Amino acid sequence: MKHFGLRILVLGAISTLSAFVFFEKTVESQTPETDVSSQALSIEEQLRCPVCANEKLSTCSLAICNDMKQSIREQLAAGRSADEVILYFVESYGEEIRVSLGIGGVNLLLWMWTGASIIFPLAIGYTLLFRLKHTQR
Amino acid sequence: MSLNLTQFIGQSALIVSLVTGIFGVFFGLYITLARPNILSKQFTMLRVCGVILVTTIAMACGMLVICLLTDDFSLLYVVEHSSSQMQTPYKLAAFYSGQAGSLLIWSLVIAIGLLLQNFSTQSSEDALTHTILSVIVVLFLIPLVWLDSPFASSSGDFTEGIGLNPLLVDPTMLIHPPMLLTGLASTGVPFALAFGAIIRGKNSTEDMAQLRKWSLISLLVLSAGNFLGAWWAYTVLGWGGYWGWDPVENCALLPLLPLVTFLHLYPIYKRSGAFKNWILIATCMSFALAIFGTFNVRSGLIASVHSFAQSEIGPYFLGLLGLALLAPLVVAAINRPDEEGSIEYQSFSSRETGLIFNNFLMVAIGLVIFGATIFPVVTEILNGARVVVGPPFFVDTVGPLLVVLLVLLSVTVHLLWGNTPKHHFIQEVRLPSLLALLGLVTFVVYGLRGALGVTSVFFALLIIGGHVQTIFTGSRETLQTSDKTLITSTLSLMRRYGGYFAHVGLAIMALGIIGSSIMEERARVIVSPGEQFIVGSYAFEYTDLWGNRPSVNGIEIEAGTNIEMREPGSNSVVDTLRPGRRFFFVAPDQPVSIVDINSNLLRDVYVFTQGWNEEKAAEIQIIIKPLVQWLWIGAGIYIAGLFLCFTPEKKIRAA
Repeated sequence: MKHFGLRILVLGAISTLSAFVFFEKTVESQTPETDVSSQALSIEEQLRCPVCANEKLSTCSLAICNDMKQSIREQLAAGRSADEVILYFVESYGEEIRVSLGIGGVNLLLWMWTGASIIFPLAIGYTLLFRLKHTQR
Repeated sequence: MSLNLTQFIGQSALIVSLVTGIFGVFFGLYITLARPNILSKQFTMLRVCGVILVTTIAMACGMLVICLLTDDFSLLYVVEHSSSQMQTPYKLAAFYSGQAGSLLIWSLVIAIGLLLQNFSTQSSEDALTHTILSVIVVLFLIPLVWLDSPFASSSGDFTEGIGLNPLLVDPTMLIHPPMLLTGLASTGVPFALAFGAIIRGKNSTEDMAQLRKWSLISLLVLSAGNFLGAWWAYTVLGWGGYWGWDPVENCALLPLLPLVTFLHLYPIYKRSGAFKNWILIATCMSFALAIFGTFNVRSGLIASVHSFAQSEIGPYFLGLLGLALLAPLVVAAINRPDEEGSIEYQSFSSRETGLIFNNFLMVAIGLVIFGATIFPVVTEILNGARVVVGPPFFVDTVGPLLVVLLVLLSVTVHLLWGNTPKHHFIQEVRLPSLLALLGLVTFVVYGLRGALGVTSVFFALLIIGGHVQTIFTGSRETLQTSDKTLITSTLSLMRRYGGYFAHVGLAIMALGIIGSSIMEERARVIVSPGEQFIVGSYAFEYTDLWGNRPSVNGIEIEAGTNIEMREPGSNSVVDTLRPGRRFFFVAPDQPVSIVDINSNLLRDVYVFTQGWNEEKAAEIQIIIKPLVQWLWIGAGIYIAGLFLCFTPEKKIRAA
């Protein structure tokens, strides 16, 4: 009973935090996205400049990027959804226009490499520690 | 084509340094093989070699600096990288903006390392280190003499140069590239020490202490170079970030990881002699990765496989990379490795577990970053199209591994060597956990969301609390067993606490990164003069355009927007921000951003403009980045911590 109050306080704090963490998406989805400009910015963040290396569309000021940004605003104003706008650019420029890396095709190689890069060293590390412990015994 | 005096002296100095380097290789080899009991006269000869090497390379550097400062456009290098309109500091920056200049820095840094190493000890084993370092210097001097001389004459009668790359016209660029180059090149010294030990098949505790010292120097300088690069990206590039997981950035980060591995396995080695061979290989890998970075940047491979094929120096660096990578592994496989001590491993809940697991975590992080960095090259070879791996991939893959690293750091500091009793661990972790939880509640109240962010903040706060508690209790215990005051007993433990300070710095940086990324607010507006808009808790008014013609450093025009920043509901202006664009004579269609930032410890208001039209309607982006200043503060604490690691170990005199 000595630390009962403290435990209740910690449990309460953890529960409150969990509520914030896990209900985050529900709260966000209740906010209507009516602002075309912020929606356009969100789409630009998901697309890359087709000319520059590794630069997002949102921060690039090349003429081609300004045209793409204008097109995004026009499509959104015409009532297209964000996914439809992104798909439009993927069809025009290919999957490479997305900032995020897809899972299929040649990209699978990188995902497999990444999986192996994480699993193997950690598995070797665990095995080493396990063996060390049992050798000592 | 005739050479002028500075060209002649510079080119001659390079040739003399190359000859001296080659002599040093053979003389060092002779002493190593034929004279195990080295005579002081012979060692003096090695030192003289080192002095000549450093002097001649420094002389070549000096001649190139003179050519840049005097606008000597008879040199191709000056035409390509400098201009008479540039201010003196930027003419100096032109020194390392090209390939030959950066190779000169590599050569000079390794030669200085060789000289320092020669003067620090005197044994036949050091002759082998001298030989290896001389080989490295020679390998860097060869392209400077034959493939890409900085003293090559320009083919025409030039009266003006192209000038510096516009992105480099920033004060940060005066220190970031040389710091990074020095850090990368400095890994050559620990490589030589480690490779020497692998060749000999044995090494002493003193050798390992030397290795630790040089690895620490490399880690310190490389880390500082990376932080300065992040600062430059944040204040110059105009995208609101500081780390873009760009291949060049990744290449600068990768050599750090084996050094971190070594420095965290060193305490285990020191206690038991275990992991010696792994430490030596890891140190060699750091240098191989530094060469990989230079090869990647300088060979044109990053731009395209085709530019690599056209590059004269690309295949040369590929060979160098192969040599640095394979030589230690092959020799280690052939040579019978030195007997290692055996670790007394009693329990999973021990400090050894944390340190060993950290080692494998670093390997995992390194492999993921390495794979993603070369993936565009792999895809170009496989199907002709480069797949660029952007930041989301790294956030999804390296991000969780970094969270595991935070967990590990927060736990390991409370673990004891051998075995940690449960009650001890709970007692140690109780107060920092409670404080971390309270801190986390504050973060959540101020808008932190997402499982990854919440977990990271909790463990970052736990690291800070746990390490501060450990420093305090450690000093108090030392105080009780010695005749020192609290301050002097803390100072006497500075070597150990240096690492703890570095961890605290990393945790503070983590808070800055999480705050400025997960909690940021970003908005873009297109406004006309006189229009107001609100972002976050601030009101902004775009008042008018501004512009001027500096006519220095190749800048044709600087222009931008005046934006008044106010607290909502208040008429008093907090700050007038002036983001804009900088247009250069050499590339007028590729302006560089002028970013303006209003900073305090809680947040940065980061503003940049992407352009305006004839009616003065401007496109402005505003990013409110909470806690970003803590990233730089944490970096400072981390660097200070590494400095403390150099303090000699002191014995505490009992009271």
